[in-house]
Amino acid sequence: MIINLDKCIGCEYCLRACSATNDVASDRPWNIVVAEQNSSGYPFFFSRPCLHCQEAPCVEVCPVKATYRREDGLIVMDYDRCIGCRYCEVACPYDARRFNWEERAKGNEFIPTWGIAEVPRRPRGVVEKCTFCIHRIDDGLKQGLMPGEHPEATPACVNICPVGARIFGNLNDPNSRISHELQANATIRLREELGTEPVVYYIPPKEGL
Amino acid sequence: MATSTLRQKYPSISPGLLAWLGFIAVLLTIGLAAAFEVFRRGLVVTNMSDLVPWGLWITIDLSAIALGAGAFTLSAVVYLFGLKKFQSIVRLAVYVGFIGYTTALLTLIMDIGRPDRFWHPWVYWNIHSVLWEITWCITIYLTIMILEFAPVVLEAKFFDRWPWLRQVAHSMHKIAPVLALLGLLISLLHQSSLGATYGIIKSRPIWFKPSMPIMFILSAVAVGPALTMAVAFVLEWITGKRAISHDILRIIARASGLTLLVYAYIRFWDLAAVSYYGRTPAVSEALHALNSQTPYTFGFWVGEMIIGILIPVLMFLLPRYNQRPVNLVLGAFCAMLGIIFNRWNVTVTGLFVPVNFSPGTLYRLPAGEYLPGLVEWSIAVGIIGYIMLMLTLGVRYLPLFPKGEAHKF
Repeated sequence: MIINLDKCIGCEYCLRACSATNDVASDRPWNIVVAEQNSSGYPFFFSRPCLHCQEAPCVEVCPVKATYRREDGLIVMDYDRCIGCRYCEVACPYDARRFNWEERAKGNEFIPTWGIAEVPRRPRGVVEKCTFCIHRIDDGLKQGLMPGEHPEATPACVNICPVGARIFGNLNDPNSRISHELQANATIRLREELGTEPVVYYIPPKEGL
Repeated sequence: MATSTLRQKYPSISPGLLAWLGFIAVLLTIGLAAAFEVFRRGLVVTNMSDLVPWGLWITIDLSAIALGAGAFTLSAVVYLFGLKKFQSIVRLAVYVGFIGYTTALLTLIMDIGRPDRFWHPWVYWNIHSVLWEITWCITIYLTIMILEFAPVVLEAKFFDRWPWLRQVAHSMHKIAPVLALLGLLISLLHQSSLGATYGIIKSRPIWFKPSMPIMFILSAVAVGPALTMAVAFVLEWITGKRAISHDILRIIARASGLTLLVYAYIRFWDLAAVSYYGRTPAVSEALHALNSQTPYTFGFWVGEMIIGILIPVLMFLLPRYNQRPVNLVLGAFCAMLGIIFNRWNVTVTGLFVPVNFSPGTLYRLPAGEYLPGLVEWSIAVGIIGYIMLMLTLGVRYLPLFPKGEAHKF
């Protein structure tokens, strides 16, 4: 995924669509959007899904392999296996993980305005995280659709963005749109020095960081 | 065989003991009520959050396991290094260790979100995870302790009716050295990897250092035996029987004092290396954040250094102090507090420093905030009740102290 910080207007649509589609609690969103400023004081908006690190600390520390790296590189969770020790939350350098401190009984304020729940709610006592909407990717690929090109096979946050600040696709395919965009733009990754190899790239604002 | 032990009469229950058992019952009731609340409503009843996901209970786990280290240390001293004169305290050490480890497991069951899945690490392996390794080591070590201790339990009068059990116990005792060796290896491994649990977390600069595992094992080896020594003294005061010679207890105290000095040395260099000589911006920032919102430096110097190391070292090593048992017990108590301080400082302060991942300069996660809530304290109270109950039952019904110097098997 590429997130273009130069285009982002901070509307939080990504947060809302994500929270509706994945039935995420509104006070503990998977996608965060925050107001930021660069070193010369110029304001911009910063958003963050799970970065799906290829050397993910959360995968390394999980005592039961409840979090694992799929063949295609996505970092996902088996909610039936998680024991709720929260070591992954402690280890994640990007605050991308949320724990279900209680059974969620209330409805979701983002449903149905911003989408409908496409996956079941997670039970009390397990950690959860952004999946890049794998249910859409997996179903789409089965139907011969291309994630990143066909909306049915693309994460909700990417589809809803009104300014096209998020680009999604297969980084392993040199001919995909995302690979071209990656070549054409200077990008950065978050906390590169940790060696976590995230696959979310950021295009900085024109005014610099 | 120890017929004298078998025929001993249990003393009748005195009013004092009854009051003491009543007190324990109150503690246990508080703990059970809190446990019920946790199982009913989930961890939302605690003050932990996504920013500070570990708290008081993890501190109890870490402290209890470190304080149980007397078991493997003293077993190794007797069975591997052949210092037979410490034989008389091994049983007590293993029993105290057993209480420590079961304490940790009980607290852990409260702390994980899905206690019904406690067995998952045994079935679903992630050998790259230190937590997986710790789970396995603790399981194996608890089994070793049960095997080491089974002969003692089987000596109790209750088991008179099954003589064959005694035969089993007798043969089990013969493998004690093997168990001690295995226990030593397993203990070294998990006592250290509890430190590594923090030491490998590269996203949090204040934890990320190779000294963590070494400091954890050294502090455990220093304080575990000291606690066993203190328990021996206190039991002597209560029962009025001198079961273990004071010379032996004083030697343990001295060894503990020396180990504390080694620990202090490494702790000093750890501090000097990461915060004075070889300071990185990330660590400086973390320490600055900690000092501006918590009494971190004060807690470190007073809690860990003065209470946890200086006082015990003076009490254990200076001849003018270490002749009096009350000073040794005081020293061990301070060392125990120091360990708890240290484990709390490591856990909670590490989580207080917010991780900073945004590419800009404005956005920071808020600093962590955490003080244990009522339910968390209540569980701690229940845990203390459990420890008191186990010690009371052990003293009353188990032959924790062999009769006489001669070994009876």
